[in-house]
Parts: sequence; C-alpha cells; structure tokens
Amino acid sequence: MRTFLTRRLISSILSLAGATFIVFAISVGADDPLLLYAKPGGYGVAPEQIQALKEKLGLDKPVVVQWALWLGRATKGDLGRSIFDERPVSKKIGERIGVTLKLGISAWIFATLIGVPIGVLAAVRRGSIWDYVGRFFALFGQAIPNFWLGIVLVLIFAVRLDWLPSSTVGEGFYSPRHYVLPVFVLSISTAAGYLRITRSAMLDVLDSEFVKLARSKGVGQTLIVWKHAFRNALIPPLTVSAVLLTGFITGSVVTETVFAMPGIGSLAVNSVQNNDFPLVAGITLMFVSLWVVMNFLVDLAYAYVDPRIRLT
Amino acid sequence: MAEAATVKAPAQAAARTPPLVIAFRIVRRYPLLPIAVIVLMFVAGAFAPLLAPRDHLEQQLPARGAAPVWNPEWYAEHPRVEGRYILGADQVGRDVLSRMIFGARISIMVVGVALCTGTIVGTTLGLLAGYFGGIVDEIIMRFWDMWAATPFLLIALVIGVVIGNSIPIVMGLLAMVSWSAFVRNVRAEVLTLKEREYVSSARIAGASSSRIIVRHLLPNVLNTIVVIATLRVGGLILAEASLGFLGVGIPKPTPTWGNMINDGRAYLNTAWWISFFPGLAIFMVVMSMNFFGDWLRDRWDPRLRQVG
Repeated sequence: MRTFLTRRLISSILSLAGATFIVFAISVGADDPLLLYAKPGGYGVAPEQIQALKEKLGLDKPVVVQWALWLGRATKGDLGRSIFDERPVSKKIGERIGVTLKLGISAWIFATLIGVPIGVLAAVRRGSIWDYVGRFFALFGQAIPNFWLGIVLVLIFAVRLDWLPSSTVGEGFYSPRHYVLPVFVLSISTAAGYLRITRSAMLDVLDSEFVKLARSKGVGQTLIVWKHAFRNALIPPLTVSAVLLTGFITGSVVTETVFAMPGIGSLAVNSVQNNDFPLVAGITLMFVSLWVVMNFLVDLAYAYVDPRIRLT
Repeated sequence: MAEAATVKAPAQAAARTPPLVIAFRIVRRYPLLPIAVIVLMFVAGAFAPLLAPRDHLEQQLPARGAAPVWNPEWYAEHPRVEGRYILGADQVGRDVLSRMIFGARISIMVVGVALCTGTIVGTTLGLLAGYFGGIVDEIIMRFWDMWAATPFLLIALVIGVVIGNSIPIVMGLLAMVSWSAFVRNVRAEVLTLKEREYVSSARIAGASSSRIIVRHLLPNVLNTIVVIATLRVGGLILAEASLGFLGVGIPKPTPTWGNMINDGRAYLNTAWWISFFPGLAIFMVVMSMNFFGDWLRDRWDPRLRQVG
C-alpha cells in the first residue's frame, strides 16, 4: 500500500511539472507578452524599456530557468501577477473558482445519479425496455457535441419558451434556475460514460461463479444485486472517473463559454486571447493539480473498494 | 443489437422464413444505418464539388439568412433571392448544405491524418513499452501519465493564439490527443503475448527484437488497434468541432462543422439553421461511428469492453 501510494505521488508530481512546463514553454515561447505592456498608445516603446520589461518579467532568461523560478514561487503560493491588469493571479483565480466548482460538482453528482443506477438497472433487466433506453442514452450522450447541445437548449428553453435564463450565474450563492442547463450540458457525456461502464461491469459480475453460487444458495435478488454484484462492479466506473474528470475540465471551458458563466473556463479563454502567460500558467497549474488530486482520491477509493490493490 | 449478433438462425429455418423477417434479422445483426451514415459522409467528402448544390464560399448578400426550402413565405418576401437554399443560407448568404458537404471533406482529412499519426505513434510506444519493459516501460508510462494530466484544450488554445491556426496545426493537435488511447491497451496486450511459446521459440531461433515485434507481436495486436481507432474517431470529430467552436480550429472561411456552429451562434434567434444542421451532422456521424466501433469490438475483441 505504501509503495503504491509513493509511486502514485511521484508520478503525480512529474505530471504537475511536465504539464505546466509544456504550457509555460508554449506561451512564453512567443515574444508577444511584451506587446501587452506597450499600452497605452504604446507603439513608441524604446528598446531600453523593452529590455527593462524583459528583465522585470524574467523573459531574458532561458525558458527552463523561467519555468523553474515560476514553479519555485508557485510552491510558496505566489503565482505572479496578471500582465493584463497587474492583479495577483491567485486572486483572479480565487474569484472565479467558485462558479466552476459549483458547476463541476453539481454535474458530477448529476452524472453519477443518472449513470450508475440506470447502468445497474440496464444490466439487471438485460434486454428489457430499460436496457434499450439506457444503451440509447449512452450512445446519445457520448455523441452529442456539448456546445451544440447548449446552444440548442438555450434556443428552446431560454429564447423560445422563456422558461430559463440563457446566461450568467444569477444572484446569491446558488441559483438553480441558472445552473440547470449548464449542469445538464456538462454532465451528459459523463453520465453516458458512467452508464456504459456500469452496465458492462455489472453484466460481467452477474455472470460470475460466485453470483451463481449465491443464487443457488437462495440469496434474494436485491441482496445479490446490491451486495454481491454492485460492490464488485464499482471498480471499472471508478477507474474511468479519472478519465471522465479530464472531460469535465475541457467541458467547463466550453460550457462556460456557451452560457457566459464567469468561471475558470471562461477566464482561461480570455487569458489565452490576451496572451497573459502568468495567468495561463496559473490556470494550467490549477487544472492539473485538480486532476492530480482527484486521481489520487480515486486511487485511494480504489484501494478501499478492492482489497487486492492494497497488497501490491 | 450487439447481443443479437451472436444468435444464429439454423440454416434450414431460413428457407421457410418470409423475406421480411430475414431483412429484419439482417438489420438487427449488422449496423446498417450507422454504416449508411458513415458511407454518406465519405461520399459527400469525396465528391464534394459534384454534390454541393452551390459554391460553398460565394456570398450572396440578398440571401443573407435565407430560410430552409420548406419556408416558402420567406422566399415570397425576398424575391431578389435566386433559387432556393435547401438548408438555408448563413449570415453572409452562403449555402449551408454546400458548406456542410465541404465540411465533411475537411473533417475526414483532418481526423484521418490525426488518427493515422496517433495510431502509429501510440502503437509503437505501446509495443516498445510492453516488449522491453524495465526502464523503457517506465519512461514511456510516466510520460503517458504526464500527458494524460495535461489539459488538451488549454494547450490547443495557447497554440492557437500564440502560433496561429492552420489545418496542419489542428491535425497536430488532434494527433496529440489520439495517441494515448493506444499505448495502454497495446502494452497490456503485448505483456501477455510476449510470454507465449511462439515468441520464445522465435527468440531461440535467433530472431531479433525488431523482427519479433514487427512479425510476431504487431499482427496479433492489429485487431485491438483497429477497434480502438474506430472508437476514437467520434472523439476526434468532437474535439475538432470544439476547437472550431472556440475559434482556434481551422481558420475561417474554410467550412468545418465546428466553425459553422460558431458562425451561427449570434443568429440563433433569427436563423437557427446555421448552427443546427452542422451540429446535427456531427451528432449523427459520431453516434454512427461509436455504434459501429462497439459492434466491431464485440465481434473482434470483446476483451476491450472497458475502453471508451
């Protein structure tokens, strides 16, 4: 168990370092960030000023050194300042992260509540109407472009029927009316993924020897499904959780753009368009850390559900 | 559907069953509808200039936002518009259907190149990691971990803004997403295959590592590769469309389905067809591709059930 966790920890740190380096290198690679500083009216910038700016931002050093310095400061919580409005990156991220977390957590709960039970039902009543509905939903959810679904839902529910607002997050801590459409759009492919995996995992387990034995002993259907089969069928959905979470990160960028929500995703799009590299790097670090932490939790849950993993 | 494929009717029973029932069985057994959609897309892409009813780039200002052909009132109100636009026209008067047909061509080209590159890179890495093990395996798999943690869309956005966007860049970006799915599965497959007797026999007979990999291991993982590739197509089409939607895909005015959805966003209220039909096309094609991939997997490689 300990070696397993140590290995995961080391590879997580490598992931963090590598992923931020890739983004950092690309965004600093072009000399563009300086042009942002050349405001206001800024075409008459003297070469000395550019040189001074380069030194101030550390752009005169090799990319690897810049990245190492940045990462060193980042571990102390200092992500630098945005080039665009000179406010601290951590503050800008902090203002926006609430919306993204609310969106992501609601979507994840919704996806699990839809995907897992229907997946179990489809497997237990194989060949029934539930199975067909479930399988159709799985195909549908993984094939629909989520930004297009968002647009179409806005057209139907906000523009034509005027039932729901089309954008932003509304007043107060959590305004359900504003979150319904984005959460649905963000969670549909994840729900479909959970459904597919749960169904096939349940089918495999229900077909195994120990379930047959339990049946022949006369154990009731409910107990077999939920105690014998479900616990064992949990492992594949847990494994894909990590993959599905990357989908959430990508999905939140698109969903927040469609619904004009002030979260990290739309901040990312803006910062990239401004070539605000400290902000881009900060957001990347945050996304990757989120991914790494979630993966780590998934591994822990894994070891909890499947005792065999603890031994290796 | 997938289960029905394994049910075989006895030969003599087929002689007595009415043709309608046989037709129904074929429909249940083979994914004809998905295949039809995929073939339609390929035909549209291959013969785009012949099939497109109009020029896909020419702007007809009188026809701005022309309604689809089933709205005769619109055409009655706009007598200066020449002919009819089957699926309507976009905000600058370009034919939506023609642009969709040319969009199919671009999609096939971009996704095809990206998938081939990704397949070759991913398979090679998977074969190397599985066959050599040890330090090679460790390096490749740690790199894989790192790659899996990198948010693809952010990289795509950064590259799109800093370097600019063009068809080769989009191909490269999609290749970057497509390779990783192959590595894990090919590696796992090779790990079991290399313990087989014929591999050790080949080694005893003096075959080099490269010969064993190419002649003995590769043919045995081909099925897996084809199945994964089919299952990846849908995801790549969606990724390409997302890039187009965020404005970092293939540069306009080249028609891609993602670009068209992006174009129509601002005109949803007045001209919903600009965004709607390209999205519907993406949806149909991706759904067909996934369905076909599932079917292929169940036939060729049921062990891959957990993929995708």
